[in-house]
Amino acid sequence: MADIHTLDIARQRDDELLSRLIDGECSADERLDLEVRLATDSDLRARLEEFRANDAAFTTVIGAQDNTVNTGVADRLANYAARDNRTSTPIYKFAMAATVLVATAIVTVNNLWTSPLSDTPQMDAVLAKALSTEPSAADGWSNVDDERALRVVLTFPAADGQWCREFMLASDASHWRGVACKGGKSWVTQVIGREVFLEQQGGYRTASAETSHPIEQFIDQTATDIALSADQEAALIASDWSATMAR
Amino acid sequence: MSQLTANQKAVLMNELTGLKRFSTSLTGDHHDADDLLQLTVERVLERGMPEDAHAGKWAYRVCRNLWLDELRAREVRSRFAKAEATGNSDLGVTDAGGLERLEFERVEQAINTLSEEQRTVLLLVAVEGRSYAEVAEVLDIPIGTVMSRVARARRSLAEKIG
Repeated sequence: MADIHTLDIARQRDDELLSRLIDGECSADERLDLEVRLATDSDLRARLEEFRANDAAFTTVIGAQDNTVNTGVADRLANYAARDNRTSTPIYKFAMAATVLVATAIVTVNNLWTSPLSDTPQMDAVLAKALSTEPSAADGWSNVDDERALRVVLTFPAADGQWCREFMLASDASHWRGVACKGGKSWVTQVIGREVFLEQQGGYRTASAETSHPIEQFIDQTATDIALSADQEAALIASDWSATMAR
Repeated sequence: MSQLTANQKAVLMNELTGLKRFSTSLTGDHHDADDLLQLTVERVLERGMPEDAHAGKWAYRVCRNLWLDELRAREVRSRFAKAEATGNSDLGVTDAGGLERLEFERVEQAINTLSEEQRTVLLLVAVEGRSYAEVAEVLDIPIGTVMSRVARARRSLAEKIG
């Protein structure tokens, strides 16, 4: 005859089995054995139902607690600048593809990126307006004014929640490539450098050869996602660059 | 450690309410839970996590470890035990959620008599739907311990609720 201690151990084993059954942690064999026993053992069935009912009550009480997350905590996380998931495929590759499509030879004069130039184009209201309204394109130019033409290459979200655009700017004297980001109502140039377009056939390097390009580095460090599609970008422009419209 | 990825941030955002429940379960106190959750989020954002880490599991582990540090540093455990004994645990309950008031209070008292370990594993398994393996990872204990703690928690509730 089993003593009380042995019965208690058996009961504990059953409780553990029932618990695992409820939690979906039984093996197939254990489940089968238990189902056979449950079919014939009313005490075991009652215990299972008791556990399930108590789980439901437990969940109800836990759910009734004040589980509100402090808005300061939620805001802190929401405003955190996460980095791009796709570190192995930098966003600049999209820019490269677009640039190659232009079939224009580009050579970057790297030393020009490192020191301020007196003729570096400045952001002004006319250029800012063009940046706000022109769609990205793989080729072609839009006139900004009588002296400058603009081609927006792509639009991407930055880690600080701003929207940024890579662009090319051409004038009679020189060509520039840069990135500007929209802070509030204004566009601020983040990085810009001169590009030399070589027209002699065979005398050029493709843009994809310039993997250490400062713009690539900037975009890699700043972008939080891939470039917007044409539709997303159009929606964003139509929304006057409200932050989440096109995401 | 590195800065969180956008995916990790999104996962963490989705886990905030679960983390709050977890914090409440650990601390047994609504206000301590708020503080613990804030500390957890700050710690995760400041120190980051490996790129391949699951943000949810990582944050739960950070939360648990912070609470253990807090217990050691401020001897909160004795304060909590006192609150448990007197039934004054402030869980910030706002609604009976469909249970009759008396029954709700009986269940609530039964929950308050569970040890923190039992309450926490039962929360993670029965409410948050975590597997035993995930709970073992979060709490840094063997799966067998998770299994026995969940069963003991249910057994204890059955004895108290009747």
